[in-house]
Amino acid sequence: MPIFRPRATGVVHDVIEGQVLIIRSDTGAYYSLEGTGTVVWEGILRGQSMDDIVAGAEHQFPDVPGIPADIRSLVDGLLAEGILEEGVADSSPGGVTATLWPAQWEAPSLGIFNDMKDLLLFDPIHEVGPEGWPHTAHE
Amino acid sequence: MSEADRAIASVLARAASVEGLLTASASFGPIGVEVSCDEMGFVTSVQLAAVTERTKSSWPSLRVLMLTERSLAADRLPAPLRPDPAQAGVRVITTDRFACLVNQQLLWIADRDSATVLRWSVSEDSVPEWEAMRPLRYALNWWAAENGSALLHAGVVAYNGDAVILTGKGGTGKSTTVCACLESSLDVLADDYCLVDPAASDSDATVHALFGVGHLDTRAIDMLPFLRSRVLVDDPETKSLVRLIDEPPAPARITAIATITRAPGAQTRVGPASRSDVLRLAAPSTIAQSNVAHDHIWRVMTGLVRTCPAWDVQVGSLADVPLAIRDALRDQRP
Repeated sequence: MPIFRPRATGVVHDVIEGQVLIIRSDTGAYYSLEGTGTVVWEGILRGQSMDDIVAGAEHQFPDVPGIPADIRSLVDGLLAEGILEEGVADSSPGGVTATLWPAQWEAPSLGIFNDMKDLLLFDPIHEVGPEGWPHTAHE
Repeated sequence: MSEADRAIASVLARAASVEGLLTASASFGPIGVEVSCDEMGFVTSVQLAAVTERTKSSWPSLRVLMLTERSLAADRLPAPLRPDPAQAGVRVITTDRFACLVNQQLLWIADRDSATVLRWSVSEDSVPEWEAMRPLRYALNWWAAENGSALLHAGVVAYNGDAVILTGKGGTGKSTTVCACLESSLDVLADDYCLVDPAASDSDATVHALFGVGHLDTRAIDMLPFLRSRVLVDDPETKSLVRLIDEPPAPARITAIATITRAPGAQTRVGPASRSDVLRLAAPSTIAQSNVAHDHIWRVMTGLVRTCPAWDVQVGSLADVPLAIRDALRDQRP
């Protein structure tokens, strides 16, 4: 029953008007989620497991096939982009308002925008290595 | 003190002990800066870019040491802090006391305890153009975040103390739109970077000018011929330096945050925009360029987007821009 959470560093995110905006501050890439993607994201922030999120979606859309694969595909994308990392169950999740599922199921898709890359060629950012001083990320 | 803090503190102490430096005072909006440097060009670039506000500032001042190999040899810098032209990218090193940034040409060390920033480069000429255009951006960015504010990558114009923050990706025409408001009834505060004081519980968020000059390409100057008399450094190859602010500006209340879209051939209009679009256009470049305090800057931006009306400035005729923005700001007054 895997649980995921946004990466602890280098990722900022918020939900504005039902749209999730996520930015990776080290690459300048930014991402958006809407509709069912927003609901899945908020479930992740609440500390729900993938099984719980899938169960919630299947309960809401009992006649729709392929929901587990749709959600898994979104989560795989978020993992591949370095937005999510595997987490541990939090006994006291909260602080995130649950958005209602949309009226119809649409497979969630991750909008990916890399147009900041040109800017970062001039003003690039890379973190120091995870082992900290005096090691650099290049070592 | 940790090993990292000791190593960084010793570099800063060595820099602070250099004698015979040139000194200058400058203000970047509310931020007073005392600069000590070993190249006259640094004094010129800092004083050219600075702008003093009309109102007295309550901000603590910042000391900045701008040194080159002339007064601090590269081999006196420990390897993680030594700029390496062969190594692409930027290293960000943060400890409880220091925030450091190292790229191919520059080292920045910001010291929370002494409110001092060291900027080191091999020579003045080795600094890339984007850095030279905004000479203390890293220091200002860091000091703003340390004091609860944030630098935003955005233009700003104001009318009677009410400001709109103009966001957009590079190339959308932020600078051109802002410069179209020069010599109108609007006050121009910024063409690319501004300083935002987020709202306290009993006050509105305010925005400050930071730099007194802007950067425009030849095409924009051709579209706005009155800018020719404002060109301070003409550079047809890249961007010319243009005097943006004539009189000491005052901070302004943030009335709206806007995107800029182009509407060629149409009359310029100001209409509503979605908050998420504004955030999507405003946040990535600000965050990507900030190098420090991303979470804090993000909170400031999301707070602004949540509380301020979101506009879309549809820029058609540049001549219409000042009136369209002035009317929208006036209509927004409570």
